[in-house]
Amino acid sequence: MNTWQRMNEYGKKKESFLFLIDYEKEKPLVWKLNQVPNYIKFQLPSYNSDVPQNEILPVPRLTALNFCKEKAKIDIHRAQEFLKNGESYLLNLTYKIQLNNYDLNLRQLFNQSKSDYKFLWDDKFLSYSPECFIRVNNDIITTYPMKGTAKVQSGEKKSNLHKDSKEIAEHNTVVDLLRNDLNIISNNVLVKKYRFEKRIKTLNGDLIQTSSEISGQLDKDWSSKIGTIIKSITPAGSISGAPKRKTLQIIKSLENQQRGYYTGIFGLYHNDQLDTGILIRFIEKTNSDFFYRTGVGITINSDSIQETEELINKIYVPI
Amino acid sequence: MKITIIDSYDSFTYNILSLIKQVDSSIEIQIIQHDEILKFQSQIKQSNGIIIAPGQGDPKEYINQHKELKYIYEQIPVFGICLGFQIIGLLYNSETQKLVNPRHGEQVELNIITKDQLFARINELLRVGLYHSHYVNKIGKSLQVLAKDKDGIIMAIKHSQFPIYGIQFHAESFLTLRGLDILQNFLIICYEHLAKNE
Repeated sequence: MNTWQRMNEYGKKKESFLFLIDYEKEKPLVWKLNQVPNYIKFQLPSYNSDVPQNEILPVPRLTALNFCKEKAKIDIHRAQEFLKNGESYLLNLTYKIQLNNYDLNLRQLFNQSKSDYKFLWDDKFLSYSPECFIRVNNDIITTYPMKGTAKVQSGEKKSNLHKDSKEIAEHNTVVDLLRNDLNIISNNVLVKKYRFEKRIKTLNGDLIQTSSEISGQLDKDWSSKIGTIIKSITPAGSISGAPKRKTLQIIKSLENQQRGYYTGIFGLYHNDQLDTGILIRFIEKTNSDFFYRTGVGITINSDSIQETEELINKIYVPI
Repeated sequence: MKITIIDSYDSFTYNILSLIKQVDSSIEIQIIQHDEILKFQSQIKQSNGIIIAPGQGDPKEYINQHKELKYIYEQIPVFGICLGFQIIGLLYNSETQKLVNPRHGEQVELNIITKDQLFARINELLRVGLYHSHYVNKIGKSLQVLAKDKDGIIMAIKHSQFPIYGIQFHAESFLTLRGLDILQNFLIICYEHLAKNE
């Protein structure tokens, strides 16, 4: 049995399980909840694997070692050529940036960071993500695509994202894309909330994230199809783009490297509920070096300077 | 009733599917990818309505295989959306070109020029969602313009002889108000066509 089939099987038997899916869907993994190896730690709003809290150590300030803004601008312009030709409407471009931090302890950072979705593979990678992918509760599937990140001053209640027409257009595209993906697997798909904002505290100041809420009705026996459902709607729309198939090809040609578990998802099926987070805000360890993975959504109206800023703004530890 | 959706590996296809199911859940829907329409000609011929769905890229790259199916399109009601609309345009001697400023995820107001069954029961000013980089800049003689946007870009067309329709905007987008009504109007056209030919 492959991972997807095992997810279906465990769900059918109502057995709790944890799963981890990479962006390329080449290394999907699943564990029964009582058999999760001890090098894996995770946390979701509804579940906390036994983690010691209240670390008193200072939170490190992450800084990029050698991020070439000029190169990023060129890449963004290259991506926009595809958009101009109508081959894509929205394309998420990501970077692997070496950090100028050499003494990071991922396990410690897992404990220190404050985020809804956290996943640690000890000594390999850590994600502290604000983004829920899908949640299933009482046969209702809900997704919360997040598009639009901006810095705000501590006194400001709202960001400029609110009235920025290109942010709105980008957000609209991802809403239509996620409506489509939910329509593949459910019925009565509705946009429940449109563009709500959430604040994240970091050492470098506050960030505002914009999300929407879309939901659909699943069949009663959905838990026996969790693997099939997840497989058909990944990679997640908000970290790939639209139209998805063509955009994935373009991303591959522009990024030139595997994303692996970065921008993949992890999830927990427990008490007949499903919750999943998108693996963004991601630190990777290779030998003794640390790399931060960050990305931005590129649209036809994206400003390359602004997008490059956004790439950098996303390098933080949420506190 | 059976509806064929000609898809181009797009990511809005299931939004169209959901609209059709909302109108009538008993409608049988078959999705055929654009690069397989020649192979599945007989299946397409047996349907009661054809939707040429949105897709990426230049409509001129798609046109050859659609020319082969023109004889089918003239027998069954056809509804083109975005790329599908541009393909219909090209099939009937229209011209398409790239927009200077592509519009992806934008909402504009629709100006209905010619009253038609496609817009039946829609009397108010309609806001519609756009995802396009190409547009029909010159329209063929056998086609009629039903609607434009405020910049004068053609938003809806109809063939003067056959029940062939096209819209530049996306009826299936949440940005289009009354998209369900527009799709329902097309499906009514399909029902009527079916009844007439039975």
